[in-house]
Amino acid sequence: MALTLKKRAAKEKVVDDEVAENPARSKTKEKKPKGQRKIKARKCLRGSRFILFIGDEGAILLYIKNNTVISRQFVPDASEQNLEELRASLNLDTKATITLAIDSMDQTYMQQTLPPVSSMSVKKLIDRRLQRDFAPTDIKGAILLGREKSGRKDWNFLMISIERSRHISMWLDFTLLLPNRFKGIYLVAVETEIVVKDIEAAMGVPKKTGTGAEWKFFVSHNKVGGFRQVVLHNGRIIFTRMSQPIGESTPEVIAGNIEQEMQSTIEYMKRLTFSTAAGLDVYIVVSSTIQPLIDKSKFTTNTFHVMTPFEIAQYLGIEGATQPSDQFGDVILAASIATSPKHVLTLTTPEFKKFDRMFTLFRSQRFLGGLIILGLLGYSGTIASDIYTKSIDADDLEHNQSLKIRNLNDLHDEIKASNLDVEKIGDLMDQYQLLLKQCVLPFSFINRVQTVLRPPIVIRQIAWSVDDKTGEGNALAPHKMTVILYLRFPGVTEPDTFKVLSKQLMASLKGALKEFDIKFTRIPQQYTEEGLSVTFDKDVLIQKKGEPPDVVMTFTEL
Amino acid sequence: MVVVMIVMGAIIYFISSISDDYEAKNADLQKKVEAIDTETKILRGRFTNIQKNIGDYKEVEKRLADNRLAINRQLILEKFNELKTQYILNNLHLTVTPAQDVKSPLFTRKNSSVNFSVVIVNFDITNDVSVYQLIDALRDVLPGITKLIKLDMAYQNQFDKDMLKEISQKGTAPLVKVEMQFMWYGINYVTPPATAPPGTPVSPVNVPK
Repeated sequence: MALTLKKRAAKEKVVDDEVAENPARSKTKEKKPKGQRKIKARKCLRGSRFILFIGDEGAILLYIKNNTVISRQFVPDASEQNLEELRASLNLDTKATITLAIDSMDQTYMQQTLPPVSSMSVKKLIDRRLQRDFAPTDIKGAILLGREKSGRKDWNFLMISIERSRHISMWLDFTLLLPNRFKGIYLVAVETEIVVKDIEAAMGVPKKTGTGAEWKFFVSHNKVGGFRQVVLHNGRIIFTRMSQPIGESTPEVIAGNIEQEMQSTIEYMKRLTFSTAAGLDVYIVVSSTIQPLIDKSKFTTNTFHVMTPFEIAQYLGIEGATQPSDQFGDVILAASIATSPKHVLTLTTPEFKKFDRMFTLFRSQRFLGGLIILGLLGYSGTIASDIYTKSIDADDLEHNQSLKIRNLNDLHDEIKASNLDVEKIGDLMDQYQLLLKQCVLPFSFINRVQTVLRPPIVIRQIAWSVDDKTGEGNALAPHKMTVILYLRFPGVTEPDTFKVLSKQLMASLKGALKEFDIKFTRIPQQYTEEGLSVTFDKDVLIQKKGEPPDVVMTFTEL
Repeated sequence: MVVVMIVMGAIIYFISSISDDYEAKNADLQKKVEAIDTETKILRGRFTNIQKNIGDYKEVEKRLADNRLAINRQLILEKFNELKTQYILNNLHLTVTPAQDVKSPLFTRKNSSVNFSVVIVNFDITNDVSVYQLIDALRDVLPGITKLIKLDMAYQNQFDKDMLKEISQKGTAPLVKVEMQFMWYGINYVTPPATAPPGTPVSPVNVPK
């Protein structure tokens, strides 16, 4: 299994000898001894979780709380008995999440390029390519490596898939039926990017690109897999291999195996534009018995670190993961992946997605339930507050009532002392006064009119009336007085004379009775103001009939 | 969680009922306080009114004692017979409608009620001044209160020789034809029911503002 990056290789910069002697790199070489180095604290996830590290030769289950490994358990295969043992361990904390870290052989890595579409569309294109290039049952994903810096600026991405072999399926089925929430599948080779970064950060290697070696070579001797080799270029995975120890399992043989595998890999790396000038940092994780047997003089590197799992654990600040005598790197790699807040690629399967959705739904229900309870609590609080306010109001009202009763009783006493029969006579007096207020007499009006109506005008008839609304229940409505006067103008036979007299009369009346609307409602034709236009024959009419008919004036109260 | 919700629901139901009880109690108290307030205001208004208009009070007290507040159909006939002679009313016609209660809430009282009759009077009289005197006299001689609503006076003739002759022969001559219409109101005292405790709502009354 190997990954080839031909396109990238063509664009790799050739690093000359001068660059190899870069002061920054020299600085890296002149690191302080381990004992004096200050290890930077690594950020890690909080809470408890399980991680199942799966390889071709078995699996290791770790139980981690914060950055401390509480327990570790190795099983050589997924037999029912082993799974039962793991299940028993997992049942100790069903609220802890579970993560799978796969370090098996059945992995495929393919670097691809995509045309320069928008960053929004590239994910869809990658998904389509994944569906096309891999089997539907494969567990697959992709890492976006970035864009070309020149030319069409194509997208570079790395497609990764794990064949869903019987071996992997058994572990997936086992995990699926656990009550623990599943968080994802991680590939050990891919996550090594972060492991190396964390180790370098702990060692104090500058983070900036271009300040360290361009190439990193990470080798770990794992129990469940073998020798896992990962090559990073500019911090991103470019190549990975898994190989098994050959021959006797003595430290010398294993050290030899590692050296040989590494030399083979470096030879292959040269095809990927690797040159020693670009710089190479090597990190090897082996047991303390193998550590001194690795001959670093066989390799041209910037830095060459051969560390035990225990030392790695110290760099990463993970407690309880390893003992100084530990031989394999599986546990520390698993613990590093499990405690890291960041991951390069999280894979999942449709079944796990369904479970995750159910879990999210369940948690939403709980959240909703919590909200409802909170709402109910708030509502109860509001009601309780209302009760308190109402009880205070009730006290106030009772006090107010007693005060008012006292005032009323005082008033009764005052009335009693005055010897006035308010209860009995009061009602009668109210009604008496109301009725008196309604009485209107015509005397005043007639007197006022008589002062204006002077000879030769004669009053023939007075029709005075006032409306009454007592029966309609509107007794206090203002009264409206209407008076009709029937007048005569003896001796006035000429229309012009009448015209003058009537105008004078109207002016005088309007001046004296401003609160009335006054008008002539009937004028005999002989006296019409436009008398000139009507037939007026004084000789005939007046002499024949003796006297003219009445002039009628109406006074309506405004 | 469901159990917690059920328990909380029960608690809310319980405290809600307590809250409702308080609300009902407060509403009742508020109503009582308002009723006492109204009663005090009415009583205070009436007392102040009586103190300010002690003349009216005495008048009503006297009229009540003399039984001159209520209207009486028989009495008005008697009184007009007396007035007919006194004011020389010719061709007197008197119409009195049966008494009916005034429905207006303005006149509704705990201790008294108001009723009225419509009275229409037609007569001939020698001069209009007597009409005015008659109107004034009616207010004194009739019990209750009279409210003139219509007065129609038609002057028939001027004084001349014929008129003087008629007066000398008959003792009277109609110069003014009168139609008079008035509302005749009576106030009736009603024995009040047993005294209600303070705070009992009372009927609305005319409270001076």
